Amino acid sequence: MTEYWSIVDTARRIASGEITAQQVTEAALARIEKLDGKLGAFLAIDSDGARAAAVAIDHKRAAGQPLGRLAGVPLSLKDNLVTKGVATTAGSKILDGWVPPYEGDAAAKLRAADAVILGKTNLDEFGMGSSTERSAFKPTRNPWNLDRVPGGSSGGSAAAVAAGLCAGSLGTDTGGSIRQPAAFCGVVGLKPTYGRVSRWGVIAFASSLDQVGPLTRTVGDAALLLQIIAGHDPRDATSLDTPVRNYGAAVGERVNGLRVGLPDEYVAHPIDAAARTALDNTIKALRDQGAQIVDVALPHTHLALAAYYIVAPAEASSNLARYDGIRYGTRADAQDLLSLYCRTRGAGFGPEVKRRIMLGTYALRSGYYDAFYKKAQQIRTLIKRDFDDAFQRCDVLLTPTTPTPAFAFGAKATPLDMYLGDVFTLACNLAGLPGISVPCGLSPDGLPLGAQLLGKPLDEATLIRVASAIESSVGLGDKRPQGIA
Amino acid sequence: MQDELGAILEHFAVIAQIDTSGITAMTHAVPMDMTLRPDEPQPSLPVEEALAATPKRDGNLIVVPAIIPGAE
Repeated sequence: MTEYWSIVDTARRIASGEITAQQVTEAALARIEKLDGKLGAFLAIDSDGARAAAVAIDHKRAAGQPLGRLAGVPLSLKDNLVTKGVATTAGSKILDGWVPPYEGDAAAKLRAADAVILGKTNLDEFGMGSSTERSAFKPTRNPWNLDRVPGGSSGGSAAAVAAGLCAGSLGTDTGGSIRQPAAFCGVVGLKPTYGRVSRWGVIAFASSLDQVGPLTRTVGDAALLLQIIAGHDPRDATSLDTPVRNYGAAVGERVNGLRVGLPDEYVAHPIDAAARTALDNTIKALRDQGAQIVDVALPHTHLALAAYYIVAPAEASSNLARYDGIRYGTRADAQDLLSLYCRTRGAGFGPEVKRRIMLGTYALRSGYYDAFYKKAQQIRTLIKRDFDDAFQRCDVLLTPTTPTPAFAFGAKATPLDMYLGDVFTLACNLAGLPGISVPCGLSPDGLPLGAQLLGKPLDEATLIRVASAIESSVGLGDKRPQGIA
Repeated sequence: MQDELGAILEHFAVIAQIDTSGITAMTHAVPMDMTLRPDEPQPSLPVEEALAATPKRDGNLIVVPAIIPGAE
């Protein structure tokens, strides 16, 4: 009964006394128990912590104390977001068994708003992947079709939200890791402007690209979660000290007169016929609502993939140096220091992580730095300028989130094939812009497709406004995943 | 893995052909002054909590293999 309630609705019903936080929590835990064996969305379930939080919220309400905006709402966190006292692995064997002694900012803000955190969701190891097949522990399945991937790297979060195992989740997005799984699983995924949400307690992959954001079933829910997690944090030196807008006010706001840009380079890119149809329907729906569709150019788009796959691995190779068996990481047995490093990292990291560490160290090595890393950073500037120019002519950009619907397990034969699927989502991270993926239809074989909106820095409100217009016209409505029916 | 890395690097060689002379390298997505907190002592983790994940310890010290062969 409660499984597909929105966050906004769940909080309202608990606050009004229609249902208790304990009832909602028990229903969510029972649904996880029933379905997660098939889905594999969770890496850890904190049922004791969730029940204790629900009891505390019900007591608070009974005592007439003010409730937080997420009071009693069952949520989950991607397992690269640090949670005090709850195991956090980042999907990697090298962190297996690590129980953080501190709370990350994301978890702390959700708890402060009285959310109930059910557990931690699966991901590609350290966020490096687009299918959740690269988790060191298990794959996650797409609830719309269990033979398909849920996308990644926040695949566990997207699958859990889509299947009604939780009301919403927080993920991280370094090159599309919130938006792409959201598109594949038919949910909303919002990547905020770089610096809008604190990275304190995010297990770092690529520090100049990583950003925390919500995955939810409605645009209104994404706006509410962003409202709660956004804001300045002195513990993150890249956190922006600018006022947080009222995102909820943008939900349902009319889009007539708004200029929606269609980037030529994205429109011309070969995409699946179903993705093309969904995009065309979305364009028509926005036009029908009075939005003005304008063609824009982002001429350096073709360089984004190469720039991203140099910058991100370079930063990852540096960030992951800490997993040496001494500072961090499950320590392998060894007699001397070098063997300890080699055995710890050899056994602890999976193949994709090793591949990216090698790519990163290659790009940063002496004599090659200018040709690879510096060049990629200069191209980042060109890409950012393209967006600045485009936003002179439009208020928001519209693209497909992915070139295809969710693909089958093992369908991407080589790492490069996998990387190429990220073509529409990467540039947003390189430029630090906010982006959102919102469901915009189903393929003929019943798989969700997502429309991506990219906005000006700190203009998440306009993304929410346009996403809300897409949701109400070509969104999935009451359609629910068939794979778990 | 060698072949895969070769294919990836070959694909990324596209950027070498782009003239980027005079273009500033972007190191951060949003222009900002690096902000530093005041250097003031703050409450920190109790020693037991901070050392809870240590596989081998001696009192409040973390025990690691010797860096110099033969040293204890």
